[in-house]
Amino acid sequence: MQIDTYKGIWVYTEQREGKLLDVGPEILGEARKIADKLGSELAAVVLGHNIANLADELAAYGADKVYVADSPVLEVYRSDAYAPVLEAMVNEYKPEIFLVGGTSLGMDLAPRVAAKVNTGLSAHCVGLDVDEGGCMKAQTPAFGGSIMASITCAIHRPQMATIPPGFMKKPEKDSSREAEVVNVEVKLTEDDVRTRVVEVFREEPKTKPLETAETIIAGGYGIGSKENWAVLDELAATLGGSVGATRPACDEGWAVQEVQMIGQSGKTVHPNLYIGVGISGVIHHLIGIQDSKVIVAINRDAEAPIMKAADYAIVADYKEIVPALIEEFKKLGV
Amino acid sequence: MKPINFVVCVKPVPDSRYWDRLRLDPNTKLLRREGIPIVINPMDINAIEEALRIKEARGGKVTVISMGPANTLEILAWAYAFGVDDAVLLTDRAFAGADTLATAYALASGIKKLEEVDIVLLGNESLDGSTGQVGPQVAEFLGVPHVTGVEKIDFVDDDTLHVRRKIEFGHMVIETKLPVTLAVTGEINEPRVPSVFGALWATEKEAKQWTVNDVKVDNERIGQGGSPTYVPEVANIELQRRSEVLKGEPAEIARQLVDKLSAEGVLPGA
Amino acid sequence: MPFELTPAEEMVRRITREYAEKEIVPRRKELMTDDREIWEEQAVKQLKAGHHLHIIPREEGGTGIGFVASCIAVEELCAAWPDLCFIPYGEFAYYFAKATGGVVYDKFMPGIISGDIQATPAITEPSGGSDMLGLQANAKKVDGGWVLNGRKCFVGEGHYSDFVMTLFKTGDPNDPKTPGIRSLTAFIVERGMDGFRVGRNENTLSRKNDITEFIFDDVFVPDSHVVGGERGIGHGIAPVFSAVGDIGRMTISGILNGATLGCYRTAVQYARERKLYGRPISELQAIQTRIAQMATDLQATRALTYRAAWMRTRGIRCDAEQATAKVFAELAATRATTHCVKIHGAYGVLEDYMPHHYYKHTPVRFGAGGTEESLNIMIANAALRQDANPDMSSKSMENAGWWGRLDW
Repeated sequence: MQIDTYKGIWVYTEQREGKLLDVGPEILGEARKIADKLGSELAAVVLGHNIANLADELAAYGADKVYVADSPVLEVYRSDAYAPVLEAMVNEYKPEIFLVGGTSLGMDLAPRVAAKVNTGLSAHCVGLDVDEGGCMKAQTPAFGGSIMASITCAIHRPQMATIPPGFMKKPEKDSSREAEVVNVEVKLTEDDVRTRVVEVFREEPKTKPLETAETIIAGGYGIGSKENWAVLDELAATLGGSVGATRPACDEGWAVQEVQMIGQSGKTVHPNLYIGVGISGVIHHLIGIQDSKVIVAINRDAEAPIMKAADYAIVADYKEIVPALIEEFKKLGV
Repeated sequence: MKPINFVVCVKPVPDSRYWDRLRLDPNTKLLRREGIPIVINPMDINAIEEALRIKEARGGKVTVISMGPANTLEILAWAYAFGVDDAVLLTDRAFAGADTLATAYALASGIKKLEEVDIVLLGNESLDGSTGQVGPQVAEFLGVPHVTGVEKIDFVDDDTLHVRRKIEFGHMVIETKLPVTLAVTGEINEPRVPSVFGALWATEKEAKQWTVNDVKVDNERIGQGGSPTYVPEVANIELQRRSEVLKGEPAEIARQLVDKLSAEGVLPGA
Repeated sequence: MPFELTPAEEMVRRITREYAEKEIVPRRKELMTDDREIWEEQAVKQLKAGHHLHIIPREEGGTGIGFVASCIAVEELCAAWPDLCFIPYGEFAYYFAKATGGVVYDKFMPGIISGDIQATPAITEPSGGSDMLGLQANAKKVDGGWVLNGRKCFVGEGHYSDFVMTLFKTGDPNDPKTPGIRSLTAFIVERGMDGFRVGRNENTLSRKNDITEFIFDDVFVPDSHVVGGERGIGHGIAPVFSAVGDIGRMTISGILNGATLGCYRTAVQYARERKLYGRPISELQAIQTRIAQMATDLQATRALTYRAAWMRTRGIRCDAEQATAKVFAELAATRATTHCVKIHGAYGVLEDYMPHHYYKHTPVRFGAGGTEESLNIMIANAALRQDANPDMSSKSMENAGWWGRLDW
């Protein structure tokens, strides 16, 4: 593999039903820094059908170039269709770095592509850096998030990584930006694809996503019961915030895992204010909240791990503190 | 109903109950795993369970395959306790130090040596690395389609499956013909407790052990040499903050906190 | 005598513990409520899962791993919830069916293997358990069988049994034709037989309704139901005592060891987590002493129980070893349950915590399988006879019992 011949930073920007998912722009924001550092071109790659209009949006998020592969065969995601198309594109255009949003489908696609082009892939990257030589170092958590591994891909190209949605900040849109659009010829036909999508079912979540909340109140196993949980909803309401939870609290049925669980295998949040109530603070959860501006922890146990990871630690029974907080916040009239 | 020939890939992982014994070597900057018992990756057990259920309904055979050092035989004994028919261990120094690509390549070479495999099952991700990459990569080396995040498998006819996979806030149902590789989630089933007869199966049946000479591999593509990625260092995560302790009566603490949060500008409307 | 378990026995522990952690431990809160429904549900599950199959040879449908495996399985189930162990009743069913053979064996074996059939011995009477010759229940010979009249009490889990093995007088102990123990015969009586019914249920320390009474009111049993057939008439003591020794004492030792094991595990975990004076109490020497004593007792009681089981699997007569195992298991459990309660402080007596339950369930087994007193007599007899051999050789303490042995 002549690695000198590989140039350019690619970001796979996933779309579903004609709309761009946030993860693409989030990664473009981070990749922009890498592209600037290396003096390389940043390209967005989007696959689908009737999606040409997405190019402008991707340019606005910072792409210098947008590769559009538009074909009826690519209308709904199938790895058997998307992977060969990306393989052909990678072999033709030879990017040095290829980043993929780690959605459920991104995680399905990226490894297949990596195997097809015989390169290395790092999963769940929460930190990216490159040296002047263009060698990427990816920070990925292991062992449930208790350890951070640094992964590099020395001689294989492109260097691939998947990045969890919601981890990086979506950049501001700059509609004045323009990008070169490359319309990729898709040679794949329906006969080449061995699977068929029978059904797609999706339900809009009823609440605002936790990833964008500015104030989060989170509850853990220490809350004790579903009845006791209500006080967290009340506290959140006084601040116009959202309620999150740890895995044990979700397992008990006090919160909904899909929408509320914060942690390495759940959501990563970036609030201004995070208040953790009755949470011991295992590393899987702490990973999910480390980007909070201010962390407050309320726990009866002064030795709970979350106390050291917090800005403010309150060693007390939440049943006494939370009502007092609700009173004070109400006074503020926020 | 045509019997189904399954291969289930299982990974040996350190038992999560003992992860507090993991030690970071300050010199090599790598993880020391010695002394920590190994178990079958939990989602791989869901895969074994699913294979057994389908075999019980339609007939067929379940073979378990793994790659690792000789002590991996312990986890294959546990797989026998569940009732699988056969077990294979790919074991050779040459396979060691593999990343997901080299692991998938080696596993695929082992699977190719078994006859007429209809479905390859494995857990969607492992407890330790949780990359979720091996499934799709094994499928690529076998030249078959794959589906990850599988929650349900239904047979439309002897050769056609409807597979339900999880997506954000919903699911997709994908139709695929055999052969296929499926990576299953923990939600697909509740694994059985091994039968009491499992004590006999686990101790009387022996796994086949295959070295590099027993399978057709390109030596450049296995082990550390065949791994495009490598880990130059591992670090403990530091998440300490200033941890200012607030004291007093609840009302007093509440007032103090509000003052401080106000000063930091993190209260809404601030 | 080997000092280690076989791979199959170790696997039995692992599988039984997996079962206990998936099926019993999550239901602890419910089990604490003394609800008969959850108890019965668990009872059925254990037998359907086949934990009683280890003493049944492979050719007859069991796993054939042996008596040590059975003791291990009982231990792990009882560590999960004390006294919740129906393995004995599956094993008794096999033992009685095998001892009787013929029609009884053919009828019950399929159900025994599938875990649908349970049996229990019904020996004790209100007049006394240890005093065999004081039995009142009597059986009269009639055409084609016998008619039984009497009452038996203190039967464990009697109301779940599908059949029982019981001991009735078929002669007069003072009659020279049927002297002493030759006046006793063992019979199989099936649930549903006319005149046979369950009487009072007794509430015990363990849980409500687990010790029952049987009433035999002109119950006709056919000749096929005499244990040992023709030869069994007047030789009822051998099967009864063999069953009580082989199954009863072994499983009861296992049950008591389960309490000791459960107490040990619970205490170790609690000591590591509970903090006082800013540090875990496991750092306090007083606690460490208790933990050490529990660990020592656990190893010692297991060694005695497993050895007796090992000898039995090999067909070596081991009446005194079985007695020793049960006596020691009982004393060890008494000590362990006390240590466990004390280590837990006030939590030790609360109903929401396990120590309370281990402590409460243990005395129920004091009388089962022989009281400490009667067992000590047995052990003393073996020791005082000139030909006794307590030197841990495979020859055992021969002739510890004067009641003969069940041959098969």
